[in-house]
This record gives sequence, structure tokens and C-alpha cells, in this order.
Amino acid sequence: MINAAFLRRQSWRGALVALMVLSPVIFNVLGQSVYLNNIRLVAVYGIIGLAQTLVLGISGRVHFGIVAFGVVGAYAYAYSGSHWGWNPFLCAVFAIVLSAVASAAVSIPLLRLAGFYLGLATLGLWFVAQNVAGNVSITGGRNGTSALTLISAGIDETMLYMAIFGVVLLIADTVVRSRRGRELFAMNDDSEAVSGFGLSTTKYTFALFVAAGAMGGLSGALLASDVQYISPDSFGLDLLVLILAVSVIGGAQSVWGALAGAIIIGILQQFSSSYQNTSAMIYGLGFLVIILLLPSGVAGFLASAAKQTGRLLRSRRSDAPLGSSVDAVSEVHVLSGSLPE
Amino acid sequence: MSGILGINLQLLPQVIEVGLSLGAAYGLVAVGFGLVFRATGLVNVLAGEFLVLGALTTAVASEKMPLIPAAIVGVLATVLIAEVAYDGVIRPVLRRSASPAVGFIVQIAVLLALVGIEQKTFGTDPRALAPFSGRTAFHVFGAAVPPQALWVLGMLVVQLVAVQLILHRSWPGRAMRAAASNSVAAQMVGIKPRSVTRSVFMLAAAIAALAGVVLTPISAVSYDDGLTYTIAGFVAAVLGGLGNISGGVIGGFIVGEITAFASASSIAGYTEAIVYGLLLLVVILRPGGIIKFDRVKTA
Repeated sequence: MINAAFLRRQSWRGALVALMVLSPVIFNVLGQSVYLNNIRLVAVYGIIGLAQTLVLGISGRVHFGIVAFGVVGAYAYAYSGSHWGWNPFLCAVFAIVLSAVASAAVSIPLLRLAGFYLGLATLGLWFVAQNVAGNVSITGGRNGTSALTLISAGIDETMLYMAIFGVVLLIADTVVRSRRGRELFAMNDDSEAVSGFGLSTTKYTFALFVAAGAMGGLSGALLASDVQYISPDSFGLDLLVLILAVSVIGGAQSVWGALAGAIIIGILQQFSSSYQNTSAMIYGLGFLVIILLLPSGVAGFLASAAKQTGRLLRSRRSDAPLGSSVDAVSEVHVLSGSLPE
Repeated sequence: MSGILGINLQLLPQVIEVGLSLGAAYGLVAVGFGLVFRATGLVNVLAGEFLVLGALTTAVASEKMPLIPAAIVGVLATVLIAEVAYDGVIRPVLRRSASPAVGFIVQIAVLLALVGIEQKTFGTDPRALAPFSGRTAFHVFGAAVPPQALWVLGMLVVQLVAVQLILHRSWPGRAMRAAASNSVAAQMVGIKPRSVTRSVFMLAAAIAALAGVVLTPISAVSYDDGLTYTIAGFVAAVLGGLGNISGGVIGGFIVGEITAFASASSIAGYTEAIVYGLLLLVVILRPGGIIKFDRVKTA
């Protein structure tokens, strides 16, 4: 299947990930290395936001518990590094595995739930994780605990973060566009029809939850390595809202939405931190405006705009009657999961 | 005297009293929850936020005028904000897609914007009103009860009765329940589900604001307390069964007592974990709530 046409279709994805990995170098050349910090945070938020995007966009479920697996991953990373003296990369793998296992264990009862009940139960999961981390002695309680860093801070670290985020994005993108991925998406549209084809929606949702847990754990480990310190406050309401914002602002229809969302949130945070008293207001109102104006997020908007322009250009070329552009508009609405009024 | 789990038995009446006042507060939020869920099928993420808005606006207004006009100003301001949020944001978004995920997210976006605006307008300091009938506590079975706690309890009873009467005995209430249980059939008999949802939302905002007014003298309210109240009310409403309003009030007292007992015990640090662990268990094992009376019937 890998031929020239395939590679041409794939090239923009490769180029995008290469640009992500090289972005720290570009910022450095431009003399803006103060922003390296923000780029690492884009990767951390992007990975955990991607987990939310996959769950929300594919299964249509609201899962607030991904933050709880961020807690598991961060503490697993910090503890195995400082108490067992493991290599930081091994610690990160341990963090991913442990949070995936934790996610598998709690997902079994959670799979029975949908709608608000899942939202509520997973909200409880996050509260319990944060509260237990703040009280158990091995986590250092409220004061938190120190963590090793993956590699020495600076431009290498930032490139590593972006490379990890890029790889996760590419894997997710490949899975989503595979046959399995299409089946997963069909589940959101009509889970009964999917069951009718003999596919187990429960099995798919379980796999999705476990993957989301692993990604949450990876993100937690990266956060711990970045600030070399972790405390329950790192996983408060701010983070919960933030990852929801990443997937909604970016657009839950496509894995690239998480990238767009994380970049926008990174910029919003940098921008709002210079207006102490109004930062929350700017953030909240920005969130509102995007929800109102771009129902399928920034990535969805860009995709449908590109598709629409392509249609218009083609119809112009073949001198098609004007009606075909109306079709293009209604197709965009169908794509973004909404109906024209 | 060590007692069970480090709870001093001599303090037991006081612990129960604290649990009752907390429970009444959670019950008030749960009433707003139950009302909106019963009448529209939406989970009211903004219940706690309207409580905070009512408390803050009343506290600011009371600097210029006596309590009752200030409370009227506060409640009206909250209802106005609720109407703007509903017609400006929530309704347009829900018209595009009515999935629970979208309903959650759009309300969280409204919540974030409101919290930001409150921080800018009211500042970060908590605000409180003076207790309505003095600070002299009276003693019941060895527990000191502040008079304001009775105001909260009284408000809970009034709201519970009023909401039940509205839902079951009045034409608008029947329209609300009809629209929630079968929107198409309701439209056939001339009910407009959209305006029903709007009035339910505004009614819920009004009762939440009133709850905020009676609560502030007991616990000062700051701009970012909304979600905390919402979540406590959520737990209460789920324990009682979503949409079961009286069950939600009982759920509120259960959560209040558990919180009070856990906080007074030697495992106080785990209070939140206990309450939300209980929520997890109930949602998984008995999603219909733990109280089995007044089962929700189709209207």
C-alpha cells in the first residue's frame, strides 16, 4: 500500500510533526528561547488533551478521570526515580504501564455507564486520586515530592517533548484512520448498528479507555520531569478544565485538534498571565466564543474550510452551476456533526 | 474519651449539628439540580454558580440598602445573568447538538466565563452577610446551633415544597414535566419546549440565588466556590436518584453527615476521598439512587 500517492497524502502529517520537533530550534534562532517552557507545556497538555479528544470524539463520552491517570503516572515516575534509582526513561515507561493498568482496572465497572453517570463517576475518580495523593505518605502528601528530569533542561528537552507528542499524534492518527478506527467512529454515530455488524462496542470502549489512561500517565510523567516536582495541586480543577478546553477548542473530530487546541491554550495562558486579574475572564470568554462560533473546533473549522475552498475551486473550474456550492456547505455541516438549521 | 475513629463522643451532638447544616446547604443545591433534570433532562452544572452569584450580588447590594431589597436585587441580577447565559450561549449550542457531552461542556464554558467575570468584579476576598437573627447560639442536646442554621433549614423546606407544588400542581409545572418526558407530544398540545427550558433554567437560578443569600452568613462565599457547591449538590442528587427532588434533599443530609463525621475523625484528610468514593460506588452499583421512594414516573 505504500506507494507514491500514499506518501503524497501522508506528507503533510510528516511535515507537521517535523515542524513540531524543530519548533524549539526555530524559536532559538529567532532569539525567543524564553518560550521553550511554553512549548514543553504544549506537548504535556497536547498529549493529555489528545486522550480526552479520543474519548470525547470517538466514543462521545465525557470522561473526567483522565486527570486521575495523570496523577498515577506523575507519582509513579517520581517515586520509581527517587526511591528505586531507575533510569528516568524506564521510570516514564513504568508510569505509562502503571496508569494503563489502573485505567483498565477502573474501566471495567465504568464501562456500564454512559452519559452524565459516566461524567459523574469519573469526576469522583479524579477527586479520589487527588485526595489520596495529598494524604498518603509515599507521595509526600500536600507538600508534594521531587522528580528526576528526563534529560537536562533546554532545547534538547523541548525537542524530545515535541518528538514524543508528535509520535503519539501519528500513532493515534494511524489508528483512527485504520479499519478499526472507522469502526470506532461508527460506534459514536450508531452503536447499535456497530453491534449489528458483530463488533463489540464494549471491547473498543475498553481499549479506548486504557489507551487514554496510558496517555494521561505519559503526560503526568512529562509534567513531573519538566518541573522536577509534583504535588496534588498540579492536578487540580485547572488541569481538568484545561484538557477539556484543549479537545473542545481544537476540535474533537480529529486527532490534530489536540495539537491546535494545545497551541491555542498555550498562547492564551502566556497572554493571560500578563493580565493577572483578568486572566480567568479572558480564558473563560475565549472558550465561550470558540464554542459558539466554531462548533467543531479550530481543526474542524480549518478542515471544513479547506474542503469548502477545494469544492468551490473545482466547481469554478468545471463551470458547474451555483447549486453545487450549496451542497458543499451542507456537507460541511454533516462533517462537523451538526445540522443546518 | 477517644471514641470511634478518634471522634470525641462528647462532641457527637455538635458533629451531627454541623452535618445537618452542611446537609441543608447541599440539599438546597440538589433541589435546583432535581428541578432542572426533571423538567429538561439537563444536568445543571451551573447550580452552584448561581448560588455564588446570588450571594455575591446580594452582599454587594447590602452595603447600600437593607437586607430584603438587597436580596431582591441579588436574585433578580442572578436571574438576568442566567437568562443571558441561556439565550446567548446554552440554547444556540444545544440546538446544534443535544448530546450530554455538549450540554456539560457548554455549561462549563459558561461557568469559566462567569468565574472570570466575578473575579474581576467582586475581587478574590470571600464575602458574607450578617446573620439574619443575631449570633447568639442556642443549645439543643448539648450542640450549639447558630440561628442562621434554622434559616437555611427553613429555606430548604420552603423550596422543596414550592418546587414540588410547582411541578405537580401547577399548569407550568405540568408543561415542564410533559416537555421533558415527550417533547413531540408536548408540542402537539401547544407547549413550547424551548420556552419551558428557559423558564426552568431561570427558576433554578432564582432558587439557587436565594439559597446563596441564606447561606452566606454561615459560610462566606468567594468567586470560585461555584463548582464546589455544584459537585456537593451533584453527589447529593445522585445519592437520592437524579430527578428525584426529595431524594436529593435526603442525599444532601447523608453527604453532610458523612462530611461532618469524617472531618471530625482521625482520617479527616480523606474526607473528600470518602465522599467521592461513595459517589463512585453509588453510580456504579445503584445508578437510580439509594433511596427508593417517589420513583420518577412518566408524567
